[in-house]
Parts: sequence; C-alpha cells; structure tokens
Amino acid sequence: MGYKHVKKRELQYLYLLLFVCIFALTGFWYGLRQIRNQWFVVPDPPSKFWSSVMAIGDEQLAYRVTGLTLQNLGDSGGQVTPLKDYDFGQLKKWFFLADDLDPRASYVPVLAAYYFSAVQDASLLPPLIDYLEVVGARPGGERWRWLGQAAYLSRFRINDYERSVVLANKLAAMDDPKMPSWTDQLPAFMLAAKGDREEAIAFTLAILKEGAETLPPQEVFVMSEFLCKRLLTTEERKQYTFCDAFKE
Amino acid sequence: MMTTLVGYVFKGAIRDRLFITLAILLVLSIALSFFFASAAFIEKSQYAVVFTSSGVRIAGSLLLAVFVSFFVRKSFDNKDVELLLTRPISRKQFYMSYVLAFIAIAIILACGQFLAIWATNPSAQLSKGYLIWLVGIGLENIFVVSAAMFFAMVLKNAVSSMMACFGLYVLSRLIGEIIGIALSGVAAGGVNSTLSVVIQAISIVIPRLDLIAQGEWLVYQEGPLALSQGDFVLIFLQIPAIALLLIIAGMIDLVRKQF
Repeated sequence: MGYKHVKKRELQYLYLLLFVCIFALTGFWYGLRQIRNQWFVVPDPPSKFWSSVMAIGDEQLAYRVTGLTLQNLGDSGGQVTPLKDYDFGQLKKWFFLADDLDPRASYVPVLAAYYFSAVQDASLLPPLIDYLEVVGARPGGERWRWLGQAAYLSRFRINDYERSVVLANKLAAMDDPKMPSWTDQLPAFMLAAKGDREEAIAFTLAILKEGAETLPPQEVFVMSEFLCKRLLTTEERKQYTFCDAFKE
Repeated sequence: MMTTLVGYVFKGAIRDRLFITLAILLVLSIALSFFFASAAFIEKSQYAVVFTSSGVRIAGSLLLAVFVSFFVRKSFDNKDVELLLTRPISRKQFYMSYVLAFIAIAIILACGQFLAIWATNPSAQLSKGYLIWLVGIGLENIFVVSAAMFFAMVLKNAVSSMMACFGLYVLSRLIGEIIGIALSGVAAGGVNSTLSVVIQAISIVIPRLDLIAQGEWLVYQEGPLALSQGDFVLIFLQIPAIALLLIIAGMIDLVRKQF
C-alpha cells in the first residue's frame, strides 16, 4: 500500500474516534443537564481573616462580596428559596462578619432590616433583631433606623413587648438632634402596648412637659390625644384641662 | 544615552501594545463592575467603585509584571543587552535607564487606573481619599516593576519571573493578615513558633500593600482613619524603600553577570 492510502485510513479512524467522542459527550450532556447545586442550609460564614484573604487583603471588597452573597443566597442558578427555609442563626453570623469588615456601610443592615425581616414565620426573627440592636445603637449617620426597625419587629411581629420597650428606650436615649421626634415618643407607645399604663402615662407627660416649647404643635397634639384618649380613664382625664379638646 | 534607552523602552511598550491593552482592561473592568454592581440591592455606586478599584489594581499589577518580565528576558534572549552594553554606558546606567522607564510606565498606568475609578463616579469630588488612593496605587505599581525587573534579571525564564513577581505581589497584599496571626500568639509551641519567627523575618522585605490603596478610601472619600500620621508616613515610605532594595539587588546581579 502507498503512504497516501495509509494516511487516508488513519484519518478515517481519527474522524470515527472524533465522532464517537462527540456522541459520548452528547450522552453526558443529556444525563447531567438537569443536575443543579443543592441548596441545603445557610453555610457557615468564613472568618474575617479568610474573607480578607479571599479578597487579597481588601476588606472593603470582602464586605461587598459578602453583601452580594447574602443577597443572592439560595436564589442563584435558577433556584428560588423561601425565606422561611433560611437558618437565621447562621445568617446572624454572616451579618456580624460583614459588620466586622465594614461597620460603617448600610448594605447588610438594609438587607437584614427590610429583606430578611419579611420572612412570614416571625419565630425566626430574634437573631435578626439581635443584630439590628447592635448596629442600630451605634452613633452617627442614620443607623438609629435599624434600632427603630428592631423595635417595630419586636412589637408587631414577634409580640415581645418586654424587648420592644428595651429597644424603644435605647432608641430614645440616643442623643442625636437629627432624629425625628417619634423616636423620643416610642417608649410611651411600647409601654402602653405592654400594658404598663402608669409608666406610659408618666412617660408621655414627661415628653409633653419637656417639649412644651420645642416640640412642633402637631407632635404635641398627637401625644396629647394619645394620652387623653388611649391611656387615661374618664375620671383621670378631668385632672388635665388640655384633655377637654378631645372630648367626644 | 540614558534618555535614549528610556525612549527605547517606551517604544517597546508601544510596540507591545501595552497602553492599548491597559485601556481595554480598564474598560472591561469598569463594564464588569457596573454589571455586578447592578445586582446590588442598594449602594450601587459604592459597589461599582469597589469592584473597579479591585479589578484595575489586579489587572494593572499583572500587566506590569508580564510586560517587564517578558521585555527584559526578550532583551537578554535577543542579545539586545549585550549590544547595548557595547555603547558608552555602564551597566548601572543601563539598569537605571530601564528602571526609570518602567517607573514612568507604572505612573502612567496609575493615572489610567485612577481615571477608571473616577469614571465610575464622575460627580465625585477629588477628595482626600481619592488622592491618597492615587499615590498608593502609584507606589504599588512602582514596587511591582522593581520586583519584576529583579526577578527578570535573576531568573532565566520570563514565565517564572512573572509568576515570582505576581506571587510576591499577592504575598504583599496578604502579609498583614499573616503577621497578625504570627503576633497574636495563636500559633504557639513547636514548629508553629519557629514558623512565626520565620514569617516575621520574611516580612522585613515584604511591603504592606494591604494598607495602601484601600477601597474604603474611595467609598467614604477620606484617608485612612485607623492609622496615625506617623504610621501613615511609615507605610508610604516603606514601599519606595523596598523598591530601592530590589533595584540595588537587580543592579548587583547585572554588574556581576558574565555574558
């Protein structure tokens, strides 16, 4: 046989082998295409050290990657995971990792306060409230909003009145002139909801007395109405002449 | 003669399309950063700035390491160095010409990287944070070219030189964390104690790149708050000092080399 004939046969074998490989790969593709990464629970977060290492020493990058990870956890690759399936205890660890990396940024607190808090099973919220209580208590900026959100979640979602009073008092104690007046008034509402009527009355009267000359008239009106119509009994109202304005 | 050599290196950079490659890399970095940042819930502009700064930092260092390593090794392999050394120029002057040219390229790259950062947020004012970041990235680039030049002199292979340079760069970015472990006393007893001492000794010649050009300076537009002024000056002086050490070491290697 000539060399050309041998070469032709070799090429035929190679083409056949190529076709077999493509056929085999098509079979692999058919078998594997439906397989996805399984989502189980929220994984353990890395330590601050390893987060920083993965971002080659750039903590701000590590923070942003952590934030995006939290935002998309369980919802990548075409999957959608309901919030009730997340391990909120583990999430709390992720939140505090992000806080270690950048205590000033608002990205992860916003995720915690307004995204993860939307979980329908309110019994999962306590770890989230723990986190918001810590980040919200720091002075500066508008971090007090996280504390306000924590107080709201305690009162209205998990009905933990004791805790909501503690959080409201913490919020009221934050001495920032830029905070709105409702942050000072919140403990009164929380005390009333808890059933501590006497304390709520005392607190509201203190606000009205201290803020007589500084509070806007509409705030004075709201607090007076709250006191006269929601806290005081009919007999008690007679002691306060300003309650006459709210007679029905 | 030195000026001619500097021009020769610049021509080499243009011929190798270094600046065009840089421009493409910067545009890609910005585009990718905006793409990833668009997925963020809030603070999209902060995300874009952080991703862009991280991307251009890595891309710039890699580009410089590759260019310097391959340019120097090519000069040796094509006998360009031997030809140039027949001209009236000492080996030290020859080495310094190359170094000065690479430093100039490093500074041009730093300006390009800074423009890329600014492009992600054009309305941002040129605050203290941005300017300190620019100085930091310039010093980082100067360190990378000094290291690449040294490794290209010492190692016979361009790829080995580039990998060694990039490995040193990554170690420099991580050395802060590693020293933290060594000094914390966590790794106590036996081999770990010895390794702690070894790593502390090695860190003498490793710059603290984790402390310069930080993303938070761009996000919060202020300089390093956690450092005292004295520490700040020390960090910004350490990098040129280590670059100088590498330049002198490379120069010694060239002077001692026998062609």
